[in-house]
Amino acid sequence: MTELLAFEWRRMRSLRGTWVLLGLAVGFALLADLAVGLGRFRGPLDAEDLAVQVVQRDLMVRWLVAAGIGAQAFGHDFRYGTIRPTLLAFPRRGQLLAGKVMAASLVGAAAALAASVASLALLLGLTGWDAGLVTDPRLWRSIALGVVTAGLVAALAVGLAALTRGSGLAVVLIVLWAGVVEPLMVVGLGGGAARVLPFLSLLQLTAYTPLFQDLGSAGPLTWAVFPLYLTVVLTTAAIALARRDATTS
Amino acid sequence: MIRVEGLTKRFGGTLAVDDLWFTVEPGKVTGFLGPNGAGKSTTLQLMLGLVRGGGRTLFDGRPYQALACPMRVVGAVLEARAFHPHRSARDHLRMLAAAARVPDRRVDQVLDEVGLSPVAHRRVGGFSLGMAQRLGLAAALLAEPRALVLDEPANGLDPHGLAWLRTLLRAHADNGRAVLVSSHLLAEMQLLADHLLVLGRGRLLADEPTDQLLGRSRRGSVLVRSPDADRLAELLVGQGATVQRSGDGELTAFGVGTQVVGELAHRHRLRLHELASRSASLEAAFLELVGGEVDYLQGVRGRQ
Repeated sequence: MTELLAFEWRRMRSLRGTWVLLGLAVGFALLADLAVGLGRFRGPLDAEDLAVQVVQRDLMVRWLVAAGIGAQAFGHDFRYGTIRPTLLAFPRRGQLLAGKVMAASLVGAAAALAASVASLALLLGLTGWDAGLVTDPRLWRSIALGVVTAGLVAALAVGLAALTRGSGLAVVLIVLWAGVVEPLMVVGLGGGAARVLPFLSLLQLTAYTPLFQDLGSAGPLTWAVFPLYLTVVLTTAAIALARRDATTS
Repeated sequence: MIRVEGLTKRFGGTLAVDDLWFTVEPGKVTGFLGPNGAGKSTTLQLMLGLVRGGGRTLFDGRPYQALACPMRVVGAVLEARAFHPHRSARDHLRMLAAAARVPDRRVDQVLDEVGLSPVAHRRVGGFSLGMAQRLGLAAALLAEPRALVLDEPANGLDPHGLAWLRTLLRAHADNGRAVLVSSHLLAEMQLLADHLLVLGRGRLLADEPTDQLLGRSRRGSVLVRSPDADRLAELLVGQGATVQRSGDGELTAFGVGTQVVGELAHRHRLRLHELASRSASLEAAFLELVGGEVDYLQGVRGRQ
């Protein structure tokens, strides 16, 4: 597994796309802080404002970045025909999937962490350094869960890219599901539907205060929903990888 | 050593590879020949577990998927352009070096070995087919494997490149490694291969040393120059040979060897000025062998 992680890290590091995505996560956070934060927070912030600005405001962008990183893990292999050299280096396909999931999750999470830390530093700097805010454990919980959820979304994207044999469709599926299908389901079925929807359950987890008041704080079910979907996708991807011929289409 | 045992592959109703059994010995270059669509590439992919099918292939006694570090056992190139176009040649090899637990200095060595050091930092998307082939070979050689499996490695190489490839593969075989090479360049294979496997419609048509395959060909001939050519021609026809007159006192005899011609001339006190064996070309032997085992033959199939 060490070789697989080293291989994946070199694969990602040697592609401009990886750095563009990491730059997008951090750059978007900083620009949003400057554009929104400067106007709204001329005075001191409270911990909740900070959590919303540092984590929740950009969460979709960070998930998108993580999805891009995850989707590239298999998507590029299928797009450029490198799936065969990759499988020649790592012929045990289940292990290959596991390694790619692990590597993409770590880099996706690192992108979210870098964006959160940069955003936190800039906002505190812009609004007068209030050291008391950063001692609030709920702020750090939000940041930590924002990072973890980005890793989980990257893992989901790896699985979807392995299934669809491409990066684009995997990212589009995630964007459509998280940005269109789930909000429409909540509008149609009420906030209670968020209990079983993967991306809204992640939002609920990272929120400083519950997003859907009728659901209350994140409970065990909220923690379980996304991993359950992820397990189904990764299991299906592992079976498909094992059964399919290594072709690029 | 590579042992192939009962490899079989179907694509829908088409039997692409039909129960293949053969061995690729170390210390030899084994050529893998066959017409288009014969199943050569599919066989190589089956051997390496890239496509699913029946049978098994053992590399030093173990299936490819069971090898602890497969790149150290088998170096394979199945496609010339299996690279991310925006990655540099050096980065591509460094990535594979991490997979094979090979130090980065080996990347520079192997780039030098295939003549790509001057373009090591260039993006591979701009590489010619010949350069891409060299990069593929560099990747195959990276972990100094005990066997090489190469699908059409000579495509796109210029004459210098072909000579370089021949020397490289010969050196690997001479070092005791097993080398399996598929190619359409029959003249090149005649120069390179010690042993030939010929495939037609997924079936193994020949598995024998190159010399033996060429020797079996009916296209082998004997060139004779003699002032008694007319009399010699009569005698050769009497021995069952087919004789062509091709100039003043010159004969080409098919179906007999130099020994028969020499002894016949001696027995009848006929003078010989030249007696030479002309072996069949691999192309001629190949065409004889595959005969009807061709799927895509111009003007024969596909006519309405």
